[in-house]
Amino acid sequence: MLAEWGVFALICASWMALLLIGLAWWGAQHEQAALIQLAVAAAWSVFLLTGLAFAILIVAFLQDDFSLKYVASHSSIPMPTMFKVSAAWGAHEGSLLLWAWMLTGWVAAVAAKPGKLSAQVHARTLAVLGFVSLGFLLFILFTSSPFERMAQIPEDGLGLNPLLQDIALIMHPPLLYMGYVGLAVSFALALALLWQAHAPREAFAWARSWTLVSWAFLTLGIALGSWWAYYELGWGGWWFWDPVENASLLPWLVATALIHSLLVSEKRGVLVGWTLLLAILAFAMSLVGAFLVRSGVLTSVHAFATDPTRGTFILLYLIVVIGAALALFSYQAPKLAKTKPLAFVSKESALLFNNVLLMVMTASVLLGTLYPLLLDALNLGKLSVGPPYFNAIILPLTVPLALLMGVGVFIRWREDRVRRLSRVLLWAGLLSGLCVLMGALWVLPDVEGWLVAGVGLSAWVALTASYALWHHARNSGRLSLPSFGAMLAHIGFAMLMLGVTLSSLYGVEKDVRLAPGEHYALNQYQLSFVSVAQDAGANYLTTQARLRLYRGGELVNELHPEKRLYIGHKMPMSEVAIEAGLFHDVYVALGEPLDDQGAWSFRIQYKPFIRGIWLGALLMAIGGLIAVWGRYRRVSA
Amino acid sequence: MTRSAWPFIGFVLLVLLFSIGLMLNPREVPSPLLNQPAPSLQGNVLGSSELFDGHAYTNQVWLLNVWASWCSGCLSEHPHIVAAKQRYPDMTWIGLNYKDSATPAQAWLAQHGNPYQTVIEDPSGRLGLDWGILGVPETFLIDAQGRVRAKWQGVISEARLQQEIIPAWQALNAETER
Amino acid sequence: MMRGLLLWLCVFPAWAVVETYTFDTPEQQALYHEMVRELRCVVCQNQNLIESNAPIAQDLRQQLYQMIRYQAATRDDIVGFMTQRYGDFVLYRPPLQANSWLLWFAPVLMFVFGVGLWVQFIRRSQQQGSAHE
Repeated sequence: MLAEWGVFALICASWMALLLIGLAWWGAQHEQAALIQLAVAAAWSVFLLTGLAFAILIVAFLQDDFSLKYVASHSSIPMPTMFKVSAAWGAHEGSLLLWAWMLTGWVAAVAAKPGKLSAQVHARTLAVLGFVSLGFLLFILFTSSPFERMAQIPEDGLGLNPLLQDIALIMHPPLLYMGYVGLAVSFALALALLWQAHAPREAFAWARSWTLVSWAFLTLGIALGSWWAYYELGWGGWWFWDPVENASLLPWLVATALIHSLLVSEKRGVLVGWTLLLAILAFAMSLVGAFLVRSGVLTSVHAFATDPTRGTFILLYLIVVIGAALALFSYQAPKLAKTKPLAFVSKESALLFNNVLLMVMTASVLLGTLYPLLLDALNLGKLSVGPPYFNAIILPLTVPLALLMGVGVFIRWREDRVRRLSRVLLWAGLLSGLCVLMGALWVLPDVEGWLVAGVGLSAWVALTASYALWHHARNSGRLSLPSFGAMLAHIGFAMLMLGVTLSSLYGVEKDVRLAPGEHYALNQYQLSFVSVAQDAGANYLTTQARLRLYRGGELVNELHPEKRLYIGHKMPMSEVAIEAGLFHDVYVALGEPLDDQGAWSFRIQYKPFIRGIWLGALLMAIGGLIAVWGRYRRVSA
Repeated sequence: MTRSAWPFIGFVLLVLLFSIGLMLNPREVPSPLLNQPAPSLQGNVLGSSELFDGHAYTNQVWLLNVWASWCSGCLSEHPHIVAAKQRYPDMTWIGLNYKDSATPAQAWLAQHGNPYQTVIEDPSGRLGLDWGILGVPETFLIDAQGRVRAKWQGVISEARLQQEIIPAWQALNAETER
Repeated sequence: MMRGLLLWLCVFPAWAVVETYTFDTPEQQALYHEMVRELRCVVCQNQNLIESNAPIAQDLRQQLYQMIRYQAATRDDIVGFMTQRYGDFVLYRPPLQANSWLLWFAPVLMFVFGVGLWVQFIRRSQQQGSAHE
């Protein structure tokens, strides 16, 4: 009976969303403050009702209510409670409900925090957000209800895919979705501003905080997914350029561009049209990603169970929401165009160039992802586009981007002189060169082109950011939190680049045969294979190997790579063992038994500074959040 | 037309692509062997040391059916092949026994019927690799000039046999006689 | 119905099948490691040969090993061998040909175009700005 209440809550939420649209729009048109107040209340009720539906779904999972098709196909009695809860968003229907709930949460927050937006813009933003929410709620109700009952109630459910029974994967989707739907806020604001064909600077300041928060969530979500892939899938990769990964990268790239162009529009009141377009595109990319992941038009390892009706619905939604937005943009944007003169050597111009680079990256990733589909649609053959393509395109583009990051933090608004700028940057450049040289002489085994680029640019970005921060603090006599956050994010990016460079150029990967008692030397380490034993966990059987890791004759740790067989699943799963360190990981995956003497195959990897990738991403996200916090304090002070 | 309409136009094209995409199947990959000379088919005849040479079948239309005794799909399509052979005795079916061994394969044929002119052993999957086999069962149609003209992946259902395979075979025969 | 019966459908990747191939030279080893990542497991969702545990991926890895170690195969030999059997679909690095020109050159064109727009935007802003004054 409870589940029917869930459906009822969703139906009520849809009606309230409809009410929200009407109240907010009417209130804005006729400048009726009372109606806008009611719209705020409606926004909160949508949030609470959707939350109720989500809570009911979780209760159904906790109660093992297998009369629900969704619960029966993604949960089972022996599953640990934690995973029963997380199974609620482990597949299409539930994850969509989570999307909707988070989206309505953003809407409620926008309703509560108008900031310095005019009442009219605030109300129109709410109206658009109400419309966006309504679409999601209807999508759930009509094509993807998690509350669907089954005629035959099974004794036990099928259980969650064992790969998803993992702590990082509990957190990964919520973080990612927070980011995706958060982009709806700046999207809605952009439409509200376009409608009135007037975009005051306060509006951009307001949008920047919201965009930074969703960008930080997106960054964390992507990083967590990559970390999960690294330790869970068993071959030590962290990014595969799979369509589903690209679907998360596309909005991230556009949101990154948006954060920077918002800065320009906020500080200088220029690039207004461009910024509004980016705000539309960022959310458009979130929806395009959802379409690609859930419609089945592309083959991906991570794809949801796909279904053409869902694809059709998302496509319709995309057409209505984004089509209308872009149509509005093409009609209204010319009315906005009031460009002040910009100098080539200025922060405005540097940030615009950064936007150009990020958008070329976005377009290239989109092209590579969709190209197989394009060829197929034109009947020109079947191709695969994989990592070699994306690396060949994206890596060269990061070179000018990173160079520009160093210039961008120093260059002055309005107009700067090349001589002043080059004097400041010369030191950073020389120091970066020194870093490469020192690295080449003492630390790194051999040197080649990409290494020089990777290490040099990482040093360049980190040094310029630190120096800019110091410079800024000295001149103003205090540390400003927003610029601290921004520079931290830049340093995080430098760390990520360094992690990518070092782990891909100096990583060692060996597939070896080891019999008990045998040793294998891996750089400064020695691995010794002790034994293999069988064991049982809560809902799986496991074969666990014991290896000892020595360094210079001293025992560092004992490693236990496993191969698990989950109950009800035929395929075994690797649980790798990782000796994680800040500067390098030792990564061991258990292969197969090879002969009667107890020998097994192992995949052993040495990954220098791979942690830099996720630590860097973490720093970026923290930097973004610190910047928001700093802005918030400044506004409220 | 102003520049501000560009994004909208781009979006329309993207939506067009997505709508077409919804009607396509990304997993359907055509064989590169189509209309190419068939790869060589040299191997032992099942259960004997006699060597078979696929070139013996030039100048006639024939079908190559890849199967194995461990393959459940093969079992479900087999009756249809046997029935087709009974109805059209001049239909030449050659079997390729993929990653199997002679004893269970012969027992399987004895039990379920043998529609094949000859069965060739491919215990290591080496021939299968040359033919670009993705899995069993698979069926190829080869014309009198020794070119691959069609390929069916997966199980041959009755409908597939009646609507696709037999018409294609008859059409090739007609082409050869002309 | 058909899907359920096909034996070659892969399951979600999760378990590393590890072969312990040994090579005569580091170059051979490097070529092997490069190719198992650049070739697609043709029956899988979207996986290269090293990530896949499908039987055909194991066969192809073995074939690669044989070719590299015993037949001194070069990169081109391997690419030729694979495309002859499985088409261009097997390559994660699309070959430069008529139907992939757009794929390979569009990013360069977009870059040039983007920089052009940047220059034009700033120039125009200067002209408009001075016209205002």
